[in-house]
Amino acid sequence: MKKLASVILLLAFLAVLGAGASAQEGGILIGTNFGGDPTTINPLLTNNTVDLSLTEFLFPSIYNIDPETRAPMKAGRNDQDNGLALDWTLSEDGLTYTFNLRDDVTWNDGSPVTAHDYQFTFDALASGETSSPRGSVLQSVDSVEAIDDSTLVVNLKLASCRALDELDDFGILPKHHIEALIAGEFAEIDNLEYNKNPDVTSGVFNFGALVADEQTSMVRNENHWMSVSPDGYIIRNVPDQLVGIEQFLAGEVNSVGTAGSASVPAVRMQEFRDRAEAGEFQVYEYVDDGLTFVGFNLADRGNPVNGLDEDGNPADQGKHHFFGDIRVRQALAQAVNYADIIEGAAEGEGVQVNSFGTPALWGYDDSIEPWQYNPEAAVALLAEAGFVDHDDDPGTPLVATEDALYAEAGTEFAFELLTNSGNLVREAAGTVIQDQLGQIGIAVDFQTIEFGPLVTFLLGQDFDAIMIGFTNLAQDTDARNVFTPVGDTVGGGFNFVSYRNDRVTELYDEALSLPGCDLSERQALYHEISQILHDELPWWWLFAPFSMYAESNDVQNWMPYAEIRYANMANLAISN
Amino acid sequence: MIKYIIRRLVQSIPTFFGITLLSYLLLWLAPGSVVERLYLAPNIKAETRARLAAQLGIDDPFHIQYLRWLAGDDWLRWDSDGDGIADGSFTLLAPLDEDGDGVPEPPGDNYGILRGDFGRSFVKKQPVMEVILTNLPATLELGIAAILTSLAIGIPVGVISAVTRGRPFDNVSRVMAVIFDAMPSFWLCYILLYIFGIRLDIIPIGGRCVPNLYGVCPPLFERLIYLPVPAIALAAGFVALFSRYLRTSTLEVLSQDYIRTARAKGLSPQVVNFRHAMRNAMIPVATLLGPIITNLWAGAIVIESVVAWPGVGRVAFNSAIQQDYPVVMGIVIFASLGTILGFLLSDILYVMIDPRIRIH
Repeated sequence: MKKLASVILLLAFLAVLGAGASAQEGGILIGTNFGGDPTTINPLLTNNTVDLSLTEFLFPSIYNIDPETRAPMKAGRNDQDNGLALDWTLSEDGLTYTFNLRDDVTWNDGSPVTAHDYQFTFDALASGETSSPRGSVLQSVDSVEAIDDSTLVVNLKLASCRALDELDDFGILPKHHIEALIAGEFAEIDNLEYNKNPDVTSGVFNFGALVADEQTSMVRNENHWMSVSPDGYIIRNVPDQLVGIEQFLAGEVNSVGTAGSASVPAVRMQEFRDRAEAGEFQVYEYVDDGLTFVGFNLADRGNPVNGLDEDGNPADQGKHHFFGDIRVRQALAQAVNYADIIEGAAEGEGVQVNSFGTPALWGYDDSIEPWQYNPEAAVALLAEAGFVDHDDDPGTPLVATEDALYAEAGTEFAFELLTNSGNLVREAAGTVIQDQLGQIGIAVDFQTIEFGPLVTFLLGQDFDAIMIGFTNLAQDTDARNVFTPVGDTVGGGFNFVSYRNDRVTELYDEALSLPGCDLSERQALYHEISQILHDELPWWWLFAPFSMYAESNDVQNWMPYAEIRYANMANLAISN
Repeated sequence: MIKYIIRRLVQSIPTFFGITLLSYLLLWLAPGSVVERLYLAPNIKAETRARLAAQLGIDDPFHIQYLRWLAGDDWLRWDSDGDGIADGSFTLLAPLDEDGDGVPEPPGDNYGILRGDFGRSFVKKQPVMEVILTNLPATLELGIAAILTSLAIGIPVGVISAVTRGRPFDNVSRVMAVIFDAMPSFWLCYILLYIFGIRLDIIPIGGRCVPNLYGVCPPLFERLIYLPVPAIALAAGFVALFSRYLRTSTLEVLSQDYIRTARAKGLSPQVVNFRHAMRNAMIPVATLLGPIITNLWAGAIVIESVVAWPGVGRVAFNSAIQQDYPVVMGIVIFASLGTILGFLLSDILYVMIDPRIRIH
């Protein structure tokens, strides 16, 4: 009996040893990226997910994002955050943030990370001399002042509930290092060798090497306060998604895509689910924070003008002969089967959205009933709007009668729907729309064109309807630049559909400047906006796709969240 | 010969400028811009995009952009006292204070390609030459491997087809030549990856080097396993081309009197076919060099993107998509020079292979 007990104990001991060995320190995390090389690894100049997938591991930020709520998170809450702010306060007038930063974080050359670093980075941005596109923070922030190494004061131009979000729009540069390189000329930041080879950083990894069109690597920062287990992280540049997926399945890389981007494609999701269930690897699914939609041009396409005139008053933009009438837009919204679109375009891997935003965002209102497929109601609404089947031939388009608000009598209901070529999801969705609108007598001239020309038509407001997608939406679905006249500028503004509803503008202003910025109060305001946008359909709300991360079983303690692939880098272990 | 080469090079100068002018014009005419490609987001204001466009100079008229690229802009607006502020300009083309805000525009700092300055990439923010030269070895590696593969297979197949005219080998090789010529190289690449990488698991699925933390790529002989798939996919069309050319020209040569004489002298068929016939049959193949260099560039653009091969083709593709004009133009220059020199080399080889041909 004693022998048996000894054997059991020995086996248990060996099992523990084995478990320990499988989660040993070391190993290399290897991901793929389908988006090309980083254009820069300078956190002030970054502007795409490829760049950000590196800088998030190399540079400190003013605060960390709570992976669950995606709200700003104070440092010290757990051992996984890498933000600097231990705490912050907002003055009573809502115009001054004071941050108390931790004083135990250093750059990898041993210098401390201080409030002066943040001020330096902000000043470089505010100078306008660099090519940084990260200027949204300047809309609400007037100045930044480092009182001492660990106290930072941010003065706002106006009370803005988005200011806190915007303060984290860029990573922090090492002032002592960069200042020595640029000799007081912020413009020189654009040309620094540092942008491709950041030697002074303060993340869990140090920068390794960038091999053009091949790979970018990072090496464990032994001196970082949050010691991580992997020896490094390599991101392979694989332009062909199909090849990248097969590399993962062949075990050549640990993951599909990189941090926060590049999902398993919809067409392979079910296969990945099945294989993950069989234990081949791990997957994580979520609703993407981007949506696909059709923008209706509400103004006169033949004479695009800004939403506001030089004095800031609403301009006369005319009306689109079809889409200027809300009943037409509502008819179209009931004329297509959304299940068919999601199935045809995204292999069923998506969810219909009811308004601006997606279910992944706290500003989104789940209670609004999305538009439903009801062709009879669509035909009736079109008839009410003055578009009828004049010859009882379903093969010919409806024509406008005298009752049509903006179309001349006799005008056939035919319009141009544009999207960018090469996007198979949108090409498929457009084909379904073209087919189903054709069944109720609306002729859709569906064209796929190259992205460059598409943008020219879009920003020039020279289109009837255009299908595109928005990704990386803000959590609060603040979209003043998209649905108020401020953004309705021909050639550059994002209110390219020329939508104006004074109540919506008022609600956006209110949600932005709400005293105290209480989340639930702001949420109520955004929900009211969502309802109006749902009803008035400046955009035709289609769907938000599902996203899926896949990680090999070698990666242990993997804890992903939506848009955050490695939320627990501190505990991550690679077994091989 | 030297006079001929110099004359040909001089003749190619207008061709070269014509290519650059047309290419730049086509790029300029393309709607959209690199700024819209990179910075199109609701949180980036139109003014920010306009500022970035001005910094890159892509808001200037065509003739200014082309001149700047060709001859630089340090003579358009200059800073004679070295204080960083322009104090003189070629007023007709570039007024000192162009936007009328009372502040002189920045002095020009480009020298133009005529003085060896290819400019900086809008996207990568690096000198164009650096961008191209970084990736050039990978493309040369692939291109040379593809040409050697195609010669090694195409020449013997062409000669044997001619010698065995009408027999099964000839028939099969001709059918195969048509198939490989018609087959899209990217598709063949996928098929090869599927068979050898996924099903048989004997080669890596794309790439050029084993990923490593310090970005070190070992010498070619240590990573030959990455080469066969892209090289064969790129070579397939050339194999067909070489074999068909060789077959036709060998058949022609085999009917010549001197071949009959060689046979009558009792020389073995191998000596007749490969020493006497093949050398003369090779002459037309030399003329293929120019077109093949052009096709190599075109093929590399597709193949390199499929197998994640870090060559110039990838750079060309990405730069064209991103409307990164300086890089695209840099590659156009490389490709044009390669083609011009390839055709010149064809002519020179023609003379060297066939002593009957003289240059006048």
